[in-house]
Amino acid sequence: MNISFLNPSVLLALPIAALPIVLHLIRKKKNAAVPFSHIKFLKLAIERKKGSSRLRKLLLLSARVLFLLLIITAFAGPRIQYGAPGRAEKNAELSRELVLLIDTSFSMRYNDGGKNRFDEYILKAKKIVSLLPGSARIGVIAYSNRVESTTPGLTNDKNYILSFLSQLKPTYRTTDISCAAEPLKEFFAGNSIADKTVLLLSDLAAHGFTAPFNYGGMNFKLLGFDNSEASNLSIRDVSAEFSESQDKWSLNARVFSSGERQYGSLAISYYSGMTKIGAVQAEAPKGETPVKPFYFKSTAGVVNGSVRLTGDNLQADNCYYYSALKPGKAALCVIDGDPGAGGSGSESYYLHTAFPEADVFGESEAEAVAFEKYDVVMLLNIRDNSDKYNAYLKNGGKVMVFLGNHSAGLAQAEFLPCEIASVFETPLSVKWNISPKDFQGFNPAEFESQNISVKSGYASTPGAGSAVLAAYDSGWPFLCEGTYGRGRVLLFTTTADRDWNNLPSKPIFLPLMRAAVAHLLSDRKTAAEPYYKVGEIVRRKSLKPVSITGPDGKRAKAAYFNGEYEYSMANEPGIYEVKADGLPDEYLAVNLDYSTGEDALKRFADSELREYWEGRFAGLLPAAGWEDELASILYGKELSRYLLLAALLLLIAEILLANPGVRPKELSSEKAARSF
Amino acid sequence: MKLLDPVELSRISNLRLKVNLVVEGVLAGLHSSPYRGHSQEFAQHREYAPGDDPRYLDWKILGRTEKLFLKQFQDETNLRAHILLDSSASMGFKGSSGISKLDFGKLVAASLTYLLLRQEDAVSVSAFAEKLSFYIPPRHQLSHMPLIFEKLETLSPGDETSFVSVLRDFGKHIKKRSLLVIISDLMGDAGEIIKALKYYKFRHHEVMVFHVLNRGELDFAYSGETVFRDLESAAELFCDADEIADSYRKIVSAFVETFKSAFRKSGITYNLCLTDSAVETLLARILKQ
Repeated sequence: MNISFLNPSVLLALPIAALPIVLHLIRKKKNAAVPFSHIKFLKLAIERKKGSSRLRKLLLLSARVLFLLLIITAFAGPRIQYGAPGRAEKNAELSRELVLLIDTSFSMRYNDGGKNRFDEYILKAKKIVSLLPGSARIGVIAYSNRVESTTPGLTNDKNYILSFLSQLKPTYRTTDISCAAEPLKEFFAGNSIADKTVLLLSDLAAHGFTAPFNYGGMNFKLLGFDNSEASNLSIRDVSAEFSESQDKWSLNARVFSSGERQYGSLAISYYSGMTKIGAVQAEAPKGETPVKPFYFKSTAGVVNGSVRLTGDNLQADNCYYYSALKPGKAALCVIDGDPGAGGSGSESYYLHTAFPEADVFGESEAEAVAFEKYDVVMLLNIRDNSDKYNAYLKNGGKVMVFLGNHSAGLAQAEFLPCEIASVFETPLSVKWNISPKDFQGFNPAEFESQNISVKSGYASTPGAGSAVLAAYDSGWPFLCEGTYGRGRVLLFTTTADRDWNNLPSKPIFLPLMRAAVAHLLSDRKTAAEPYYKVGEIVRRKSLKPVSITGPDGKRAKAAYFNGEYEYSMANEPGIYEVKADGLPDEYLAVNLDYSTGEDALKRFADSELREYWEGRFAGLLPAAGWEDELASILYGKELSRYLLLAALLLLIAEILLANPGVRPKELSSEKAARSF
Repeated sequence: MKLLDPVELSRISNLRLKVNLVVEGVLAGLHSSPYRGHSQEFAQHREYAPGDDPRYLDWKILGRTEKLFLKQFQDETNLRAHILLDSSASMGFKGSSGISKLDFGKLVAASLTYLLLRQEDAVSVSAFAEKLSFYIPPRHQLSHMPLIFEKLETLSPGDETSFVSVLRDFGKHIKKRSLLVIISDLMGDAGEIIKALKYYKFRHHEVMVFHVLNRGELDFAYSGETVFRDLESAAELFCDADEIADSYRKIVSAFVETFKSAFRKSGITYNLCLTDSAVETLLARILKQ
């Protein structure tokens, strides 16, 4: 335990406390004598009061001296510090070395009403600096998930520290306090004093304390500011997908709600570029909630913009940027097993009506066709199996097969999802099991599917792992889906012309064919996805060097070598425009990093904080009245108010002691006169 | 009856005038009350003086000679009063009242003297401190008064009191059965004083004590740390008046009570006189007794 004084010079006035004794002595000598008739009664009275009088006088004098002592001491600003006995005498100096650890992560942008937390803490930091004595040595470390900036070391130049603090800005990065360990070590290196004070100016959200803090032998007292746990909304994982079957884009997003606040209905706005293209209302229960897709049409090859929500206090994570390339037309190839029957009414004729861009080859030409160029290969009534089909499928190819009168030789093909038996010749109708959700939005019921009649086809049995999307009355599969290698196969067990069925003449034919192709291609990436996180280094291939314009409008050239550019200035979320001479513009969507849960503002519990700091954690300063508490911790507990209270009590005691006698209600003379 | 303010009275330097004022007040207050102690045994005649009770006029002489004579009786003419006024230093205490105990005692003594002489009683007046300051033998003529007044007026507080020795010696001046009037603050050994006065009572003298005190002596209206100087010994004493006040009052009350109780038992008339009280009221009360 150690007692220190904020204004030790006041203690020079302590001799004033002896004033009552001096006055007592002086007054005794200087008092003029009062004539009295006979002092024998006074002597008697004094004799009777001798014991109690001496004690009372002693108490009175003590009270007066102590009163002055307490008053003077109180003005000297005494503070008491508790600590290990060995360190006690150094505490006053120890506390004058302070490192401000300032969290600049994006969660510090949380607006607590009027100001965001970062600005509030910068104000507090400045106030702390101004409260510290001139001899105090101060250092500042601004961190997020990396060290943003630091002062060169500890300094007692307050103006420099204040200027340094003024230049700090909140970032869009996540939090990882462990990154501050190294600069702290540098600050403390070579200093013989073991104890330090580190003042943490952070929202203390749990996401910042995941990595262990490498103390490396450092021992310091850590203080934080208490703050309430905040609820927060954020919008995450926005993706733009182009639906080829519906020729429109869909924007998909998820809303994350942390904390206890109930937001009710949210307004979510969709932007293409800077133009608002729509808005929806969504619910925000706790946790993650997917939002219904928002559809829009765009003829542009590239779409970019943002999805935004409104209504909570952390704006930074209420906007998520997207950028997507429209996929190119699918390359289709038709291998016709009966090319001789070409012309109107042939299978290839009908499929050509559905896919005019498709390349049509005879089965004999198939060996020369480079299948890898095509997204989907359609096999129409082919005669023979080929290893080429197997190889194509194993590499992720998509095949659509129509069986016909030549297809008996295909019965042994491994890639077919059904085991083919014999041809039936009894007219059968078709029952559809297609779910529009799983089949590119195609709904057979919308296209008079009940009118489909198949007079011939193959009786077949679905293989293991295959799915029957439509079946005949008899139960044999009409349309069956299966996989082979990394490829996918759709099998129609009848022809694509009108020889065995009336399908090509019905309205369902074209939508069914397009949906089938889209279905096969559904796992194809809609677009290249240039999504990056704030702070991430962008590395992309490019034929030429590029310059990149950020959301702040600043343009910079990216480093370029070996056909790849590197850009390390994506420090804020937004759309970054990439330009290269003679090449089409490219866009990068840069968003906040949600992987560490920075948008979940759950505050570390006190016990968790102490656990994290391995016993070094000293305490949290209250949001209100933190100045006194900080002073108590830095300089010890403030004692002035207690001393003043004690002085007040002494004053009361002094008054009581100085006026012991209460005049009797009836004076002696009156009593004597009455009794006479 | 309008009482005379003792303080106002003290501002009048002429003792005779003061005594006249007092006596007029006493008589005015007593006009409806007959004097007591008048015996039916005729002693002598004396010339009527204004203020005499006309009931005692001798009508026969008036009828015969047309002169006013009063009849006087045996007891009245035989009364010898010895008034002993304490003039010790402690009697000079004024306190805050403005009138010293000695001045008050002088007024009482003079007033009594005048009243008694008006009744043709023989009055002796003495003053004492350590010893008798003066002694005026008993006379019953009014012409005796100037001398008494002169002595009293020039009397000032003296030394320490030797009350007992003075009383012991004073016995030689009392030849016949007398009324002994003691006007004093009785600052001395209470036991010895009581004993000495009892002696006179034992010798069939009437003893009347006027215990003169200043109200401040009883109430002790002092506060704070004070240095007190004894008027008799000039010794100084430092004390906290507030602290001892209560104890002091108890002691003084006991002191007064001691005299009152002892004198009552011994048949000695005791009168506590506070210097700020009206002398005529005091005397009137005594005369009624």
